[in-house]
Amino acid sequence: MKKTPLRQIAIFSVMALLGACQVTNSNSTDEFQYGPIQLDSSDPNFAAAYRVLQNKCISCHTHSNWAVYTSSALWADESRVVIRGDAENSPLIQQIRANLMPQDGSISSSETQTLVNWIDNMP
Amino acid sequence: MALRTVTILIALFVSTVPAMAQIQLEASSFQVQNEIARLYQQKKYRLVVRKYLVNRKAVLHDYRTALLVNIAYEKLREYPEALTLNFDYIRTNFQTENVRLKKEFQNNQAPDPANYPLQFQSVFFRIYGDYSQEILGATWQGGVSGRNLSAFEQYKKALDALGYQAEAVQNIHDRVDNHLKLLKKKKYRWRPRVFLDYISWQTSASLNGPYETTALLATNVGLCPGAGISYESGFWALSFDLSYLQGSGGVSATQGLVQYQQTDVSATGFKAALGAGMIVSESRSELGLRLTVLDVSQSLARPDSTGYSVEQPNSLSEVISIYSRWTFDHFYLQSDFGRYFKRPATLWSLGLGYSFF
Amino acid sequence: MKFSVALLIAFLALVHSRPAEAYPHFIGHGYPSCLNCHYNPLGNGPLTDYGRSVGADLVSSGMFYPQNWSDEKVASLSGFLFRTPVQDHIRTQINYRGLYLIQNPGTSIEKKQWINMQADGQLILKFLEDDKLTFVGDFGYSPPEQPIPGEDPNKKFRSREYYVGYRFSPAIGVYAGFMDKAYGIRVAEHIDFNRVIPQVTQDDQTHGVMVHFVNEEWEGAVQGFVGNLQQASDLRQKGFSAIVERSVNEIHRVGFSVMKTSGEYLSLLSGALHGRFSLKDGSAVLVELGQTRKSTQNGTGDRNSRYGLLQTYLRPIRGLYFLANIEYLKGDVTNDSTTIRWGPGVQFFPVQKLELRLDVDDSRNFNPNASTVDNWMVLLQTHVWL
Repeated sequence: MKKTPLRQIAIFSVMALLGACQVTNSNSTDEFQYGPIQLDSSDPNFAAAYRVLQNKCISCHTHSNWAVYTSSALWADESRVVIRGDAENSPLIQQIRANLMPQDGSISSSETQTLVNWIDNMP
Repeated sequence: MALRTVTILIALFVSTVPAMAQIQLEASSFQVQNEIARLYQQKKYRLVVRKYLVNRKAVLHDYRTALLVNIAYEKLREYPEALTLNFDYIRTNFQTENVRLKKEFQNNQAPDPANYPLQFQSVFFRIYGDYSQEILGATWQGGVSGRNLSAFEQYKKALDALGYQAEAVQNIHDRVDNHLKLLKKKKYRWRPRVFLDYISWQTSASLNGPYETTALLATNVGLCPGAGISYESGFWALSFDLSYLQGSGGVSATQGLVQYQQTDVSATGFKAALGAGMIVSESRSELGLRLTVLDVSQSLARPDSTGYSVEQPNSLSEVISIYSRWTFDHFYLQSDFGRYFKRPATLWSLGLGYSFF
Repeated sequence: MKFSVALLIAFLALVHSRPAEAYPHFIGHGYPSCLNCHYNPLGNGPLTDYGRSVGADLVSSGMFYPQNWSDEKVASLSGFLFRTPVQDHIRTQINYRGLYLIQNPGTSIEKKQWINMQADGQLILKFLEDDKLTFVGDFGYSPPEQPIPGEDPNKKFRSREYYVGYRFSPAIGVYAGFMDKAYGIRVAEHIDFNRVIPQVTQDDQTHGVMVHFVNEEWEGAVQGFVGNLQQASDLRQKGFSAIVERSVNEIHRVGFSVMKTSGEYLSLLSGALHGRFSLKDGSAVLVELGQTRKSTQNGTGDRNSRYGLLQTYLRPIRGLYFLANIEYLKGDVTNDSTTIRWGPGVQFFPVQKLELRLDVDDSRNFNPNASTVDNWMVLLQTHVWL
């Protein structure tokens, strides 16, 4: 059967529309959260800070992209909760200081200081 | 060749689909009507209406079956649904008569009853009756819908014009009139109850040290057994509750470098609440505002280090809250969500209660 | 006798619509099943003609309509762009939901933002007797709030639904395509724990096949799915789900759901019990209690999480609902920490095709070893559908 141009256009339109779709969902960051993690090593403070972030933040904030931010640069440029070189004005630290986060209050003062050191000394 | 044969076979099949569908529909309609009649005889009115909901066309094409479903809705006291069924029935079977009647009223012409089948007039009478039941079911003036009242009067005029069962129409109208007069009188009654709430609240304190003051926060949960009484009409309720509070909570510092932590610190006290609400449904579910006074004692330990002391606020506090009560016969669930007057903290509770009478 | 006012009577007897609407709490209006009002038998997605006219007549308040407008007149305006459909095979719907969100109000870290939650159109094609055969498609503007590094940030559109459905009879239907998963109470609040924990939020649709059945006492669905085929294959969650409900005491429903999904990095096994209870006159109580077991490739996220939902709707007058949305979460059942989120709210439908909603969320954490201040959110929503 000869394919009509109308049918081809319809198929192409549907494929184009679906191809233009974003598919962010609950599983978009699974590879980063639950797969083997490879952290950027250019910032010596990042690995320790990431351990704190993973245990105290990312474990609940599964719908954010935080698990994907495997370098200090991504946290500073994309996360909107970290201001490079200014921990006390970073929303991440402000929420901890205000006793709002983590919600179960389980972050220790040394863990908080790890995050402060990391942000203040970001390259 | 094979393609041509397959195409012809498919075309033949497709051409018979409407006929097959019609046969299947008629056979299944008959089954549905019989099934509804059987369920109605067994007084399984809920199953009757459920059968109707998944087989609407089969019902709307048969007067007797539609009548059974209509009565089933009335037995269940679901009059809006009964009305909708009747409207659908008229639209499906008497659209021409309906339009004609509308035009005659528009042109101020007296309709000739002979032009309107008895079934049509009978359904109009059922609609009139269902509207009357809606009005008669109202337990307070606010429960009478203006639209229903207006529709009720319009259907009376139509039935009077058609001369259908004049005496019965007038009797129903008189009953509705009397009921409306009754609703105008306010009727109040006392209703005592008992309840058990699961409650959560937060309290603040200060840890005063030699160099700084640290804010402390206690997050508590507990149980609140109590009793209360309401003075209520069909529309409003005033209530007073008294309960005993037994709970505990964890305490920690909310800022600064000082570490302070306590676990399971006991709290006991009393709670009294005055509420005003409105009854929002036939099941007497309620929604309102409540003013609560709490007197709760909770002793926080003073640190061993010298120079430190714990300062706690007055044990007496006031809370303004929104409460809701969801009633299932005598039992009810209730919730409370409130804000303290003098500090930025909230109080919640969720409970189970039993109302007498 | 003058019958001029009897014009109303004829309109009353013309096309009229049955009450029922989108949300699961509308069991309070006497309609436990979503099928009569939605093309998707488990709810959500575009409304049927029936559902639209119900939204006009029963759900929305009549206070802003002219007094001489009958329910039938109002229902006749419920079609797309307020028009009565003139043919039976094509339907369209446009939806917009906007949210003004205030986080931590009154604090030094207060944050306010406007979020376009939904801006899409739906196309429905329906054929055969009683619309047995339907094609439903949805497409709209939905930029990700935070683009994921490595993904194209220019992809700002999304389709949340496209499927074909065939009902062999009023009792049984089959649906194939891209749809929500059949699990739990499909509440509109997609950030609720009962949606987030088992991963059935507003973006978690999947490609699969679903069989739906309903009769006077039972309703349910079984669904097999292969994940979102537009997503990278290692992220797709494949599996199955099932939900069953039974009518109890004639006006209530109780049921259970199960779901098992697995991908390369994550597997979930979820089960829940739920109930939907009618308080009549539009008021209802919804309850769900469930648990999800999460297993991860690197072991960091392995846990059993338990969640609960108690959602109540009280309707004092037509068009107005007072809500209490009370949630419970134990993120890890081996942990002492529990979160309860209390959310009173008001939902108002002033006229058909418009919903206004105000919610206040207060999250409190309970941990014997620490005490933290509550986390607050204020949510103001507008929903328009045409």
